[in-house]
Amino acid sequence: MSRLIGEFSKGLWKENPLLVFVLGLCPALAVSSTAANGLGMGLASTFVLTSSNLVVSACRKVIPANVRIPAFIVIVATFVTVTDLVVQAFFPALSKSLGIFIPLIVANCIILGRAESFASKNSVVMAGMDGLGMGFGFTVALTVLAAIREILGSGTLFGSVLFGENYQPMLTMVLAPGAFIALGILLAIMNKINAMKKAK
Amino acid sequence: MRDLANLVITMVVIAALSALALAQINEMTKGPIAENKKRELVAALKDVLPPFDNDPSAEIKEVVTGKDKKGKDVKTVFYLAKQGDQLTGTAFRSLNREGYAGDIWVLVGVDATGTISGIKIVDHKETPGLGDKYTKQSWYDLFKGKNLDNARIAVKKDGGDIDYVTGATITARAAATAVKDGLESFRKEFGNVQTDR
Repeated sequence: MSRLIGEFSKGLWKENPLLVFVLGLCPALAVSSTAANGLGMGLASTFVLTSSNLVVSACRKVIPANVRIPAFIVIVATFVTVTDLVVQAFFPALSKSLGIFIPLIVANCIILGRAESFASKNSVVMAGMDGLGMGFGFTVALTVLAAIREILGSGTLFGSVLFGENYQPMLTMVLAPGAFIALGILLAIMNKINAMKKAK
Repeated sequence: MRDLANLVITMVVIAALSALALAQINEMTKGPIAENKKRELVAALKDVLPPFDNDPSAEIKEVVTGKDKKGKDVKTVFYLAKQGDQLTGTAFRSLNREGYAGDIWVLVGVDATGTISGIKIVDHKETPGLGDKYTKQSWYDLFKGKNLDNARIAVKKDGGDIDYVTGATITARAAATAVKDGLESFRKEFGNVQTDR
């Protein structure tokens, strides 16, 4: 049981896919302009990651090694398309704000990366926990990044206005340069905290 | 040889299962997706058209309004608003390609005399926080009541009557031009007639 929890929790901090492995940068930088978008993208990616991990792990003994990449990609792309259609049908507002970044989840390195390095070599249950943990780690990191950018760049959080009329938002934060700067600062803070922990 | 067969069979099975799953989900989401699109259109039409009691999203008139670069017909859909049998107005989408980041589509609603009853920017790729400052009702309201004869439909910088935000002129200019071109296109097709066509 503790092994299961370990597989899940490593994705939250020690092996956080965005802040430690630095994977999934493309969607992370592009959609983190509002906290709601970050959260939505994170949850959609978590669904795809967990589902594809489960299927890849279940099929790991029957997929020949030399076609594993095309096989994984078809599996991931299928789940991404399912997610895209479901979001379009039942969450149209989210679909409009995330736009093409939902179909682009298929190119998210985290998903193919975990399929190849973990799911294809571990049991279904472990693969599932890995998917959930990595997914939630990604979601939390992405939502924090997006919240910082939204507060500084638009003066709102999840759409609610935080400051008074006279607040002049730092517009750069919701544009591309701000994304890189905010992510860089987050990475620096993360590294500092880890270094201090090690020194103890 | 057996390895090759193994490869092929595996990929075929995976592809087949994937296709099945996708076909199933497609069936289940087709309806809600179409409904969402219709709901969005109906809401936008309500915003830009004068009062009506029919369903403008269903009563339409498709007109060839020009030719594109390849010589194919460019069609514009006119959504008809009626009260009883009387045509009270129509709405249509107008495109301007010179937005800061590309195409801007404006839904323009006019009453039967060709005077603007409302507009709405329905598609754009403009910069968030700058170009998208115009996607507000307060900017759309600047166009209400204007037509080709009683106003100059251009941004103030270009000698027109429409306000714009400094640092985001291009977006405003493109949207205003879309509205003006749309009105001219409407006049060509419908004239200034009051009656049903």
